[in-house]
Amino acid sequence: MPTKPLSAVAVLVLSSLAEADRHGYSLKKDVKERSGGDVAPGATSLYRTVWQLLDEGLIAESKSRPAPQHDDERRRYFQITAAGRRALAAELARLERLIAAARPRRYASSTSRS
Amino acid sequence: MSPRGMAVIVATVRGLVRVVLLAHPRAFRQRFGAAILDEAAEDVRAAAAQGWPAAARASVTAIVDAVAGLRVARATTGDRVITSSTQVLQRERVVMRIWMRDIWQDVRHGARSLAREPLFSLAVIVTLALGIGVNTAMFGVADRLLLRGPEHVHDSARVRRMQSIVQRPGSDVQRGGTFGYVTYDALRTQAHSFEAVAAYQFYEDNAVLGRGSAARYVNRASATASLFPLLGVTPALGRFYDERDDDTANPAKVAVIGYGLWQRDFGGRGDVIGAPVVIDDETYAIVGVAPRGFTGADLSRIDVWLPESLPAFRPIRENWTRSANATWLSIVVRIKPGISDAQADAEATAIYAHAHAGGGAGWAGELHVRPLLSDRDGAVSLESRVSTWLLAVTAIVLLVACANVVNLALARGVRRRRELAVRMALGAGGGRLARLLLIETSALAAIGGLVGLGIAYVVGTFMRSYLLRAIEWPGSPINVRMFLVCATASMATAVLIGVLPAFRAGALDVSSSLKAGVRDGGVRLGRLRSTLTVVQAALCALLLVGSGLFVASLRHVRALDLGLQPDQILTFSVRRGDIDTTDQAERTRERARRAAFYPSVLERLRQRSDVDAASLTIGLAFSVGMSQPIDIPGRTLPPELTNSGAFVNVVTADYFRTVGTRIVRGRAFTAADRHGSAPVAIVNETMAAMLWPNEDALGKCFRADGDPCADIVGIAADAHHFLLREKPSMSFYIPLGQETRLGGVTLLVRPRGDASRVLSAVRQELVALDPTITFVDAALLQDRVEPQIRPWTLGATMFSVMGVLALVVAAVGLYSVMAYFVTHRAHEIGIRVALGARSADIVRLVVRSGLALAIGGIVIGFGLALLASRFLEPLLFDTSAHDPAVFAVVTVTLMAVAACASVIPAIRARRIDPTEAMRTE
Repeated sequence: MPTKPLSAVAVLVLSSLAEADRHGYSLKKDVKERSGGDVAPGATSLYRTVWQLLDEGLIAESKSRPAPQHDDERRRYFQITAAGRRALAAELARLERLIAAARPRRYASSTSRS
Repeated sequence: MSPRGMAVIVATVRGLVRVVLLAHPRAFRQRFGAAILDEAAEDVRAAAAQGWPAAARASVTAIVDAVAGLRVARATTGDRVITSSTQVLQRERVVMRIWMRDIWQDVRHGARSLAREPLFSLAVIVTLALGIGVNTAMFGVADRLLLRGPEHVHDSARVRRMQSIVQRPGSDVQRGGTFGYVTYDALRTQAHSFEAVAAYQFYEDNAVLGRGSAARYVNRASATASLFPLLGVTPALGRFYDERDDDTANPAKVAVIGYGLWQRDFGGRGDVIGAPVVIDDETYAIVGVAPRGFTGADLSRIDVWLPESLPAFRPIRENWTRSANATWLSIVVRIKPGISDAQADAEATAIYAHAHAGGGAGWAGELHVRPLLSDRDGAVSLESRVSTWLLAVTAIVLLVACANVVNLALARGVRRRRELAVRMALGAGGGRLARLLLIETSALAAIGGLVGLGIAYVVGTFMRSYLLRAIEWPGSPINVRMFLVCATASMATAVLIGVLPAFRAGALDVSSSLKAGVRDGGVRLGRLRSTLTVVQAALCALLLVGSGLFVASLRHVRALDLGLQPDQILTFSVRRGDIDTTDQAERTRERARRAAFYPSVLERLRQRSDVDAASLTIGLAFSVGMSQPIDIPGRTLPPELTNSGAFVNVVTADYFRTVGTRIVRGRAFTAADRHGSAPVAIVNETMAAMLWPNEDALGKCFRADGDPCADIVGIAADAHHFLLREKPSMSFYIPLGQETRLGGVTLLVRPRGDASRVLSAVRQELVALDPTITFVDAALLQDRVEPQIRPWTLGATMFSVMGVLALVVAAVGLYSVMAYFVTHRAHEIGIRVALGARSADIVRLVVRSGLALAIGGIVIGFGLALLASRFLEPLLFDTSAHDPAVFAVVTVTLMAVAACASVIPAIRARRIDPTEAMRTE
């Protein structure tokens, strides 16, 4: 279980892979779609995130591949690992606690500036 | 967006992302590099469907993302309160902003420290601007000649040019690029390898547009209607002529005009369709306008396109669709997808052989498909090959410039050791220092690149208007591609010149640097700088040898004995309208008047003081060649002598004096040799030797094309007919008036004094003598020869410019090293002076070190030149790539420059005050 928080892209990658195995390009599209376009990583940042998650053992390269007629052998497919599911759950819980804590008594949002 | 534009953008994005990826860990790059490049390209392609702005946005995003990806490892959701996904994005922007702020700080600092040393900055910027500028300009030329190919050609990868390799009995293997209509027809109807076949012919300045005083030369091409769909071009206006217009039995008198002509002569008007255009006194109806920059399958400007079936400029009039003897057409093909060049060659060769079945015993021919950019003979053109070399040469100049800047930067690094050491002592990491230095060099390279663009513009304009005039250049001398190349070259330069000093900054030993004085550059640094100087001198020597060889070639070309003197010969031919009367008596009178015109002109010209000699000729070197079959009564000549016949020139009395061809033996023609007098002839030395090998040809007689037997009264020196390099061929002269079946008189004038003034004076005289003249075609014969000299002019000019440029840059480099040498060893020199060394000894010491570096460079440079000679030699003209004179001149030049560059520091060394030098410690 990682001790440090995950990046926004990493959270979205994990939640996307929690639903289905995906290859890089479809992962990128899915991340953009599920964040409503707010988080739209380019190819390099996405793969850097994927690389990091692979390194931390939160995701793995998938051995199972789609039916050959849909497949392109150069594509790499990724799947979430058990550790990844635990990390995602922990991160979501952390974010929810944070949001709950941050939400003021009256409904207003706080913007932090550096 | 055009597929080609898209391909350029995608390739650029891939290239830039690939460069940025180098900054990522190697393991990451190996695992995901390919996927990232593919997906970035995919994104750009998808965006390109929405047009240029979207494509540009996607390109920038992909590159920025590759940079931003470097930060991914550090970015987390954790250290700030995240309340919405929008703020996730905002947070990432903040990270970027901090990063940008750091850089901005460094930029400002770099700018300040560069401004503190304006001389250093200026030297670097000028050096880089020259290097980058000439590279960009040269890329523009190479891009046009070698890479891009003709404009408006759709899917150009499948378009090829046809080349023939023919073996005729009794002669060498000949490579050629011209064919008869019969070959085109056979390929078109029988070949299955090709989607389309087209034929065309084109020469520069081959047609006269308009009539009267407004008439001028234009470039006309005649092409089969199939050329336009083959290339995939769409007209700017109207239509291209089609197969019905280009009917061999009944061609339509229609024309497609070029975009430039449309703009210039018709004001770009839309109602030009259907308007008449007069070409060579014939009127054609305009059916369409070719798009801007369309040059067919070549690169030269074309003003008018006419159907090939029109009898406009064909060498044979009768049976032209079937004759296999005359060749005048270039053939281009579009190969079907999936057909290899070898398959296409095999099929085309079979069809060619079948079509030439009547070629006779021993005839063997092959057809080959070649890249479109090969020249008309199917070989890679000489100009293209020279351009390739020049591209390499300019890259060398940039290398020399970079070496010089590194040298300057290292010297500056020594001066800044204390500053950098202080910074490190205050806690700046090696990485931060390296970044600072890189930002400084990037700023210098960026400014250098901008100035370089200006230089590229100037150099490009010069090359376009003087060296490569025949090429159609669309747009300005600077285009997007050149800008990209310039930017890339600048960035690469920044990295190249920044990395070494930055690396050294990282390895700085803080405590010793803080303690040490300026003097301690370190022996290693000195050695590095000397090595760089030797490299510069070597590259410089290489370039100078190249330029010397090209200059020698050019001199040999110019000094070539052509057997006549084209730079001394003005040629005039006149055009008149048809005789538009049906009255027989009137027609006869007019013909007689026209026949009397030239003799009266000759008479007038003889009285002019600015005319040395004048004569008339039918058939003209470098312009029109005519040959006739010959035979000798009572002898059977072997077929290799009779097959191709002999060139014939029909000339008046002063011809040989006018053109400068020597009469070796016998006599020239006189006014008494004319119509009705005894038939006489003058043969050239080759003809005399071939027909009468062991006898005297004088007094013998031969028949040309069945004419009465002509007595040989003189033997003339061989003269070239078409090419600078050609084997002498049989050729003979007969007096004007004794010819049959030959026509087309040209007036030749040998001027005394300024040729161009005589040219216009004679032109005016001709028009004044005969008001019915519609056009006078006047030129210096040398203008016809000049295109053949162009590759050597190009090579000599550009090599010399680059060589001198490199020499100047290298001299500055050597000077800076020697100046450094003197500062560095001031202490030692001081001791020497104190011990009684005379100032001459000191000067000798410094200059000797400078010359040693130069000699090292010369030796290495000559080694490189000898290695390259094998490839360079085919481009030279009668010049050995080992020409000792060239090497000697280069040696002397380099040594002289090296001596000059070392003398100033040497003189400064002489003035070193020993007490002062020894006290500084």
